[in-house]
Amino acid sequence: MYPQENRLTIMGRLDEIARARDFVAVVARNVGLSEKSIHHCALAVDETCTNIIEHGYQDQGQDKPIEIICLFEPAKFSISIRDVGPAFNPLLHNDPDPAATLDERSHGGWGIYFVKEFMDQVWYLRDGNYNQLTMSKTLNP
Amino acid sequence: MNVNVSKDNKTTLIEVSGRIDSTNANELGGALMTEINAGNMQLVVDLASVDYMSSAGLREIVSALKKVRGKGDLRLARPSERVLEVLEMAGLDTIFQIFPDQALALSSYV
Repeated sequence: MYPQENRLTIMGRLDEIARARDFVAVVARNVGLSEKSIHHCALAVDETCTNIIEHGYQDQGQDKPIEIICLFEPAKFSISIRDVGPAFNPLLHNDPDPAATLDERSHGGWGIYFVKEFMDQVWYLRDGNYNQLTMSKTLNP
Repeated sequence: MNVNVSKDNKTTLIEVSGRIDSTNANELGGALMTEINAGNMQLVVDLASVDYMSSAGLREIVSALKKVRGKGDLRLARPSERVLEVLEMAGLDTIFQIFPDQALALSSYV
């Protein structure tokens, strides 16, 4: 029956991210994604959670949740990541430039860029007190 | 993640294994900076046993490359398909010299 939903809540600490990554990889493998797509999903979850913990929660999120919701529909696998940090739409930030020289490169910005590039669709929603970033892979027929 | 450092003539070989992410990338960065601060400017980072690297890992190797630039180099060896895909997505495959073989990477300094 569709949609199939799986949820996990982690706390806002870096050492929790591996659990989120592994959870999404298991769910994605169970619904039949390729190993390459599973890696993309795990990386996207890692980068999103890292951003939430380091910026949204400013490394003070030990008691604040991050919810991971996987939704599988016949042609799409979606992951929503929800946090209770200040309203923040990461998709509004300028992308770093992969063609930049070494000199031109600054330290950050690649995480959300990877989410946008490795996933097929990404969108942001402010839902009450929650930031919700949803990312999806379209499944081949 | 494990980081093993050894010397091959004037070149320093840094073999990394496991997953590089935001929980441990600073350990890799620390190992690289230790070598650079000791004056070891010819570095090869062997990524053959790294099955996962997030942007946190990229940040550390880019910082180290900036530090050695002009005095030496940081060259990469044997990235897996997954790690290479991440390097390419960030445009780093044109910034770093990447070798398919550890011996080739080490001998590239001679």
